[in-house]
Amino acid sequence: MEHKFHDNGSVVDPDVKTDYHGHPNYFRVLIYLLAMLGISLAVFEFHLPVNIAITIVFVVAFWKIGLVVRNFMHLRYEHILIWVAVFAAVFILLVFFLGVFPDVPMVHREVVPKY
Amino acid sequence: MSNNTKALDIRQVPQGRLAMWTLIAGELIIFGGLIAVYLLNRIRYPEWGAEAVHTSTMFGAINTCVLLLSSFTIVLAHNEANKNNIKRAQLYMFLTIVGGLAFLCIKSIEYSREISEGLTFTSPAMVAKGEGVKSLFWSFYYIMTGLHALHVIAGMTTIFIIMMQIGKGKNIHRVELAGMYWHMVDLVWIFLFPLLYIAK
Repeated sequence: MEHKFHDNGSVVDPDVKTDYHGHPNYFRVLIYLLAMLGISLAVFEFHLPVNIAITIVFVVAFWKIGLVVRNFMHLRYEHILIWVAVFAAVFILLVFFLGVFPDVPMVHREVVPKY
Repeated sequence: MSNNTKALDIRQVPQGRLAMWTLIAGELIIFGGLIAVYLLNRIRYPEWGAEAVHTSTMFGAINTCVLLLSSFTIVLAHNEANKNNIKRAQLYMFLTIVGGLAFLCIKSIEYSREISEGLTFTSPAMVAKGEGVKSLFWSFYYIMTGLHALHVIAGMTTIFIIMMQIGKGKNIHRVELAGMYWHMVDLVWIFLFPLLYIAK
């Protein structure tokens, strides 16, 4: 078997897959992420109704998560079954959340023991 | 083999990446479950908004910035490792570890401020005033941010070990895997930041 060598003389690991996926413009992604952080900090300076401000902040958070997962974690280049595995986890969480959510307004606060 | 069949062949995915995505899906359930329970309680106890006022948005924003920058440096490390520029990859990994340390330092400053104000797990002062529900906010705060900080430490340790290994020409493909774990840590913080520091 023919080996490749690093500059320091060590053997290049044959398991390395250098061309498994593409590489987006990471610097541009970072600029977007920092700009969105700025938006989520500035949104409360515009004196919007609280519900709208909070909605904007969480939409921006999800957008940031999407940017990191797609570009930094390279999910955009990934196999379809990896997408299925990730979204299955999200789906299970949603089922859990929506399944428990109706109990929150239904139970009176007085039922909860005081500390 | 048809093109469609070839496109669905999971064996094309490197085993390490497959394992890392499985781990990330598991972590998603752990943190997602915790965040879901927090949200349910937050809806139930609107007075938690008044407690969130005590968290420092400035420190939270600086920490978000630090984690985003460290995510950038680890992805550059992966890029350089792919090109076999080992020294540069190690430099970017070192910068990522420095980012993690900066994050932990800022977090410890925050913790010390909050604890000195009496905002602790089941805060005795709050319980004495009959405001135990408010102290529950701080229990969630410390559990969520503490668990996240443990993951930061785990990520830094992993990156350090791999940084040493690639210097010997071993396990270069693991730079990307460590990076994926670090991005997951970043993702969790991206969601914790508005939840604990902005939604007041």
